[in-house]
This record gives sequence, structure tokens and C-alpha cells, in this order.
Amino acid sequence: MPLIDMQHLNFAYREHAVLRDVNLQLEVGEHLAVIGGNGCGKTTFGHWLSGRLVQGETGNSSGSLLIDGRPWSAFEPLEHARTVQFVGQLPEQQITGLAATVADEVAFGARNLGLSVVEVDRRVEQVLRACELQALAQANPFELSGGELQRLGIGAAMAMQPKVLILDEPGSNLDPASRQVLINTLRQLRQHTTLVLLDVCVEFALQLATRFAILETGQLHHFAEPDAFLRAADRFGTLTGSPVADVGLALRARNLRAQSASLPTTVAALVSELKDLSDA
Amino acid sequence: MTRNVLYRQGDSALHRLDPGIKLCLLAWVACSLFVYPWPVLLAADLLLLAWSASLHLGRFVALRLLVMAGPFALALVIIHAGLLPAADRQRLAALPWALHYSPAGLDYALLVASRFVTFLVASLLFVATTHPLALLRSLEALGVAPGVSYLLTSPMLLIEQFSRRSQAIRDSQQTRGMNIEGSWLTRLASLPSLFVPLVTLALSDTSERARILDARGFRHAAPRQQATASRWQAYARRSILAVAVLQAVIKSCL
Repeated sequence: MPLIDMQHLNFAYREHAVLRDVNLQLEVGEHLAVIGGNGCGKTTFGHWLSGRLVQGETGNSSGSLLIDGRPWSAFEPLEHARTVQFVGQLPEQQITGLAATVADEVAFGARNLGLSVVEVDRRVEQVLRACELQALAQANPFELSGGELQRLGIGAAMAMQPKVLILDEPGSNLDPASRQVLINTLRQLRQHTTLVLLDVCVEFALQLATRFAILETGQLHHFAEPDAFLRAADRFGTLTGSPVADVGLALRARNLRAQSASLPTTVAALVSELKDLSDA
Repeated sequence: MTRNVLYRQGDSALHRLDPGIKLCLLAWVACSLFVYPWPVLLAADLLLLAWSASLHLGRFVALRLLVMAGPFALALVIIHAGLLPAADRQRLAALPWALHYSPAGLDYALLVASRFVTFLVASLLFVATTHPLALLRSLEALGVAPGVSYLLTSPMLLIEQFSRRSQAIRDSQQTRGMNIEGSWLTRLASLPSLFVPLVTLALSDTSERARILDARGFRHAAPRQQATASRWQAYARRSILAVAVLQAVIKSCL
């Protein structure tokens, strides 16, 4: 039984259809990247996956969504919190406002799980290190920059150790170095957590995802391989963001590489390709 | 504890006192307002102001007192002592042009004003020496439901965020050419353009924050790992509340 089983989900805000016949099965530990342009419904899709939207409460919906074989409505609040964490796009809205320090904010959710003080401290230390927030441990969350808040929001969600972590445009407020730190941190989740990335660019997807999808006009198109995914993403024009893929696409546009050749997804593959090109 | 708009960092005995006990003291002050006459309350105000000054909170308390209680007290005296018809009206001085006033009206105005001032000074001392998070933890330790303790403390917790947002809105409106400084009329006219986005954003934030709190298991009923209130604190709280009730009973019997 898949951890997430979404079958023929349709959803509309009044007459405006946002999701159309969306199907998704995700197993434990899978990392799915869903790419789409602004306003294509990624956040709404994330709200469905995280249980923020449930059938009959908002808009028109049909289809089904089961988590571990049960609908979200069957989950107790605490079990829900243990199962999924959704981190939205606006960093300032990802903190509780009930913590005086960054360390307190990270510990807040873990404390609510009824964990021992030792376990809470262990998780706080782990998350602060992973998100490079140790130097800010005693800072007031309201005084952090956008990027720091983004890392704090993600860190606080990670401290809950949920089965499913959903990140909506996680790199949007981060500088390149911080993005790489976050990618490295999320890589460590691979065995334990199912990750769903919702993004407009492919940088995080190429480095983290094991499965790829594009959300276009409310429909979810699945791709098993990065190459097919990149080709499809290229069709939309704006869905760039990976320097490696961008260089590959630029070379193809100038007819310096075969149209049918796979796009590079790693720096090593690109360097190798450029070397071959230079030799030729 | 970090900075807060109302909270002033310090290491005084009042700062260190358990917020639950301070809340009980505030409740005792509230009960006392209806027990003592205005001269006693005014004397208590002076003592509280002197105490505030000794805690380096004199300016903080006095300024707010002046802004919040000053116009109210003045209006009370003018209306009750000078404007309302009364049988005991008499000249303020033995001069033909002197104003008339009612001693009973003045007595009533001073009573109401002194009650307001006393509670305001006590409340200002409470918020200036109690960090909202310390209060939240104290309420949780007392077994108050998380939702209720959040309801009580969130206005104090979020006031700083509101102030910053209000400043950001003012700045962005100024950069778009809106005149928000100058005469009081100009400021008054610009108030809706500040107020509407502030309220709209606050409402949006409230629902998001509720979702985040739910996602972090805030309303979970299981006991959190925290320090519980000590026995002497419980005795102190009960004693203060008992004194408050006792003096109210004695007053009602006299």
C-alpha cells in the first residue's frame, strides 16, 4: 500500500478548476518534485497532500486521497502533525510566534509531541546544525532575515520528523550558498522521509528528486527520468533554474549538441560534455 | 528573553516573580479598587510610581499613564464636577466670575479616575516586567488549556510584529508619494490607508499562524516536558486571592 494514494482528484475554487484528474502514488522515502509556473496550482496541490484542504470543506472536489490507507479526516491532530509537515512560501508565516528564540521555535513542535527533554534537545541541535542556524540559536525569530526565516521554518518542520515533508518553493529566499546547504540537508532525509518539492525552477528537483512531475493547467504529468522531465520543462520556457540544465539547453539551441541527446543533470556530466565539445 | 515592545528586561524581584503570582496580585489590585476610597488609591498610585522609578520603569509608566489616563481623568472631572447638574453646586472661589462645581461630582470623578489610574499603573508594571512567553509557560504550568493561554498572551506577543508591519506599511506608502506626516488632519486622513492593510494582513496571518500551531501539535492534550509550578508559588497565589476575596467580603459587610 503506498504512503500517499491520490486518485482522480479534481478541485475547483468555485468555477475555476485548479486540479484536474490528478493521480499520484508515493512510497515511503520517495522524493517527488512537482514543477510548474506561478499560479498553476502547486500550492493548492500541496495543501491537498498536507490535509489543509479536505473534501467538502472548500470549493468543489471529487476523487480520493488516502494516507497510509486512510483519509486525512480520520487522523487525530497530533498524528496528523507527526505524519505531514507543510512549509509554505512566505517565511514569516512559517513560525509560531510563540518562541522567544530560534532554538525555542525549533523545539516548540517537538515539545508538543511529548518527547523527553533529552530527545527535544537532540533534535534541536541536529536541526540547528543541519540548517546552519547555530549562530542564531538565541536570536529572536522576528528579527531574522527572509532567508534565515525560511531555513528556520524548514528546520522547525524537520524537527517534527514527519513521514511526509512538503516544501513549497524552498529556495526562493535563499542565496546560492544557503540553497546548497539546504539541498545537502534534505539529501540526508532520503531514507526516512517522503519529500515533495513544489517549485518553479528545477535546481532542487535535479539534485534531490527521485521522481519528477510537471503541473500544467491543473494536470500532473509524471516523468521517471530527469532527461524527459527537463525536455518537458523546457517546453514551458520559464521553468529553468538549474545552471547545468540551462547550459545544456543553450548548447542545444545553438546546435552544438544533438537534439536527441540527454541533457546533463550534474556538473560532472556537463564538464565532460564541454570537454568533448572542445576536443571536437 | 528577547526584546518586546512592552516588556523591559531586568533582574529585579518583580521581574523574577512568577507570572502566575503577578497575575493574582493584579486580580487583588482589581478587587481593591472597589474597596478603598480615592485618597488611598491615589496614595497607592504614588507608591506604585515610585516603585516603577526604582525599577527604571518610571518614564515608561509615566508616559503611558499620561497618554492613556490623562485625557480620561480630565474629562471625568470636567463632566462630573463642572457640567452635570447637581444640588450641591458652589463657586470655586468667592469671586463673582469663578466657575461653579459640584463637590460630590468631583469626589465621584476622582474615585473613578483613581480606580482607572491604579489599575493602569499596576497593569503597566505587570507587562513591563513579564515577558509574554514567561506568562504563557506559567499558564501552561498551571494547567490552563493551550488555546486559552495563547488567547491571553498572543496580543502581547504579536504587538511587536504589528508595530514593525505598521512601520513597513507607512514606509511603503511614503515611498509611493503619500503624505502621512504633517498636520493632524493629514495624519487623520492617512489613517485608513494604514489601518486597512494592517488589519487585512493581520487576519491573513492569524489563519496561517493557527495552521502552523496546529501543524506543530500545539493543541495536543498530552503533557509537555516542562517545569511545573512549585508548591510555595501555589500557596502564594491562593493566599493573595484569599486576601482579595476577604477584603471584598469585609467591605460588603460594613
